[in-house]
Amino acid sequence: MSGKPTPAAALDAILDLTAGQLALLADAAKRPDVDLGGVARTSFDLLLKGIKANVAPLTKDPAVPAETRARIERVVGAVEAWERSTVALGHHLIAVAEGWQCRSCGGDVARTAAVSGVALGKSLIKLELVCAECGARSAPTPKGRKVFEEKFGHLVVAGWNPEANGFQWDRR
Amino acid sequence: MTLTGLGNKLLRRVGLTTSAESVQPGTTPKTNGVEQGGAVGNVAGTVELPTVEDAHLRALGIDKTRKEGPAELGHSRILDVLGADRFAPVKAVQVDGKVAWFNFALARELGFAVEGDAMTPELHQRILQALAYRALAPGEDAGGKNVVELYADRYGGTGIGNNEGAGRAAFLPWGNLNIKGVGRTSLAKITEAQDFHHAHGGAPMREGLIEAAWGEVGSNLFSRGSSRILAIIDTGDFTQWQNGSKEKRALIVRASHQLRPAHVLKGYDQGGDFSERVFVSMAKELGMLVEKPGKAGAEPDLPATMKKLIGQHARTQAEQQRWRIVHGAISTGNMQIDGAQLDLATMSTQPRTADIKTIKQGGSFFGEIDERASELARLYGALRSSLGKDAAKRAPPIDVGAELASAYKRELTRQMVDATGLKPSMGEVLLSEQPAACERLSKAVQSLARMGNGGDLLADKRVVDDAVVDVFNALRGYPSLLLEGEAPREARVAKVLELLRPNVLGSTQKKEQTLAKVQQLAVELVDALDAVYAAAAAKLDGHYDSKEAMQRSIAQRAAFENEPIEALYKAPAHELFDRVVDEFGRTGDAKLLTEAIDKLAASSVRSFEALLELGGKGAIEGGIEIERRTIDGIDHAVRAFDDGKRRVHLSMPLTGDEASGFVLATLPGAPRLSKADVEAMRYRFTVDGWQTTQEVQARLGVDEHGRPAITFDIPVIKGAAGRLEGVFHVEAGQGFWIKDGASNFRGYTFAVPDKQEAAALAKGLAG
Repeated sequence: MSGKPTPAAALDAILDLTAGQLALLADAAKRPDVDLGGVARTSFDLLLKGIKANVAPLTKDPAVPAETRARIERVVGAVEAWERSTVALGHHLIAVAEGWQCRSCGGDVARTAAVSGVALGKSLIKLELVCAECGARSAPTPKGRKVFEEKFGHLVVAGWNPEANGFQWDRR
Repeated sequence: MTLTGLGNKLLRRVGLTTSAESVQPGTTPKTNGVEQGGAVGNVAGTVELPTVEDAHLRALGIDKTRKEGPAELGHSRILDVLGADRFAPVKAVQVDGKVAWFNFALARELGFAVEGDAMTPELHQRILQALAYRALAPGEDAGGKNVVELYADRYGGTGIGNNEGAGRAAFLPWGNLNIKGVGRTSLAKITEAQDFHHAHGGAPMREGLIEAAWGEVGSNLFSRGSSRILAIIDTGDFTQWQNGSKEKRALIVRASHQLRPAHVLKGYDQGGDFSERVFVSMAKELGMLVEKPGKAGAEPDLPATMKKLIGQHARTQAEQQRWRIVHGAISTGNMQIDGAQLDLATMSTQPRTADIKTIKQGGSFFGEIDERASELARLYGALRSSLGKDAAKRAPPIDVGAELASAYKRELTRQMVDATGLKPSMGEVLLSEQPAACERLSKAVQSLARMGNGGDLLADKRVVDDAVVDVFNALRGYPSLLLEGEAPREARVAKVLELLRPNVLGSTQKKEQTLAKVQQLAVELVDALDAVYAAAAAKLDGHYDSKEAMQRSIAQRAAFENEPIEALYKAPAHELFDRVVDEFGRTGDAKLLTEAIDKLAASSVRSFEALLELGGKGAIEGGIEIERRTIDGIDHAVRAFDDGKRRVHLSMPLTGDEASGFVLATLPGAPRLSKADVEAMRYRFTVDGWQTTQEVQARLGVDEHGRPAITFDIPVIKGAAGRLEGVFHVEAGQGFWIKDGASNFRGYTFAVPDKQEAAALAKGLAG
């Protein structure tokens, strides 16, 4: 992962990544104990991340035609927009729950997170972690709250459906 | 890292004590290993055999104090246990070949010097030197290659035609390793016209894959364990079938004590001069010999010893029932004398509890106990016949079938209580203090399990799913009701009926009758389960941290342990292995076998208790680390801290430095990453078969050896169990790095100890 990026190297990396993900999917399809749809979601997500990461540096490469650079910027922007809108609680739950302890049983593993008051905005929305051991809810640490705001704050506007991002939600 | 496989504690629990036993007859003088162009190895008859104190080494059949061969593995105990007269020497020459699959963890247990789990050219060469041998044809010149003396074991019994023992397999003097497919031995009497498959001396590679996967799974599921495969070696050989088709062969190198009832027999059902000696010697070796006072001190109590062995077989048979497994081809030679599994090529799991067979002439799921009884009766009969006129006094008749049936009933009750999700320690208490409640539960489960729809139950080429109900699904799902609070009995029965997923075939009238019976038995099952859970709740002190913890533990275990073992349904598993062998034949890519075998094994282990004991363990700051296993160069472990926290811990050692970049030396291709890349690395993982995923951030830390490492800590709750699979990825700097390919998904199956279990494990470490 070093050296000056070139279009050829980016293409090579994307082809490798694609082949790798196809191999994963082919393997998953053979296994009765695997949710192929789940693997496909992860593969697609990683593929987008890989394409973005490999082509984004080319926007700064003067050797790449301006039109291509503009196209790359549009694709990278679209991928980032997709990532922002689909950011999954599961991918940040451990970070949000870091340092947290359930007030009811003392457990430190969160099963999920619940939100309420979506329309209040990111600094006022009520956020609670749901204990994996006893099911009780309590607020995360300030550090966990900060992670939530960093990763999900842009979504917290009226009309957001938190369930689509993996949160429990009381529809308020 | 020390890997101990099936832990000593577990072995003790099933009666393989570590205490010293009586001395053995026969031993082997130390041999000097392989000599260029010469023959080595020896078997003697009557020298005193020192006892192996470590139960795990006894299960493997090795004496680690006597290093032999190029890899300096422990001496093969079977040579001494059976004695020289029970072997036919096989002069064998080292062959070139490709190690198609190698069991790194087992290799370490056997004492093979292996670090990590990467196949290097140097290791490949050492494996071939230690394990790759085939029989020399009479008069064949070894061509200056290494020659060793192997030993084909003599045995009788069913299923071997007129062979006089191992017709295509022989033991190395080291590692108690048996090479299957070594070539035709002098004990092979069967002709190609009689049974081509067993007459040509080769072993199909596909059999190696099946045995390798089942060996690992069987070691987890069965108290007495299973034979295991150490290596599958491709020598480029094929079997040319009479119809013109070709089948790829391999040398299949098998580990475990491999002491069989058949070793006591000569011919179909007769004993010989050796029978009593061999029977006693095997029982002693395995800690199963019962002695009684005699005129000149303690002497073997033959019937009591036989009953003890029957008890072990009863347990294995009950465990098969519990995990929904049929062996398929039980015979005097296809099992180990203590009930450990052997010859696994016909085994299968199934979705429900249909009375399946996997080969036409084999035993069925419920009927296999009769086959086992018949074979054990043959063993005892042969022993008695060898005693001549002393038989009536020294080995009076035993009704083996009745003994086995009685022990089986007890063991089945134990297994069904365990299948409720209760810890075995609690099960023991209930079996002792509430036997009626336990027996009632067992009866309820069995009544439902045995409801069949008839029809073709041969599960050789297709998955048979024709049982009327899925009783283990009911056991799997019912405990979750406990977590949801008190539900009325009617609702509990409705839930169980839903979980039973009735599938009734036949006429309308028959369907109505069958469903009415299901309804009645569902009520009985609910009442039996409730009684057992209530009895457990009254006795939870010393077993669980609290009532809530008990409920969580029951729900987690029941869900994990009662999940069907889909990957080992015979038809699809064999199809998969056939494809893999074909593809390997075309590409020579050994990774294909690793992927197929290891993944299948990882997804099939189900025993929570055995998982707690599997792999290395040690103390860490503030707690203990258990279940240490290296998978694809990544160290995995479960950490239990004194403050109650639990983590699944992953670690990848790093070399290099910030200036030149860090190298992940244990990963394929040894990727080099910058410090920023390392710190940005994330692990996307699943514990539910990719239905959902989570991510955790990397940390720069140190591994168990104090080396710099990338580490990941996944918080888990006490009592959890599951299979971890995932992908490492970095999106930082200039580009994207992913540890991709199917190897990400080999999986780490884990169990998380609660407070009581962690304390016991810590105590074991301290002791």
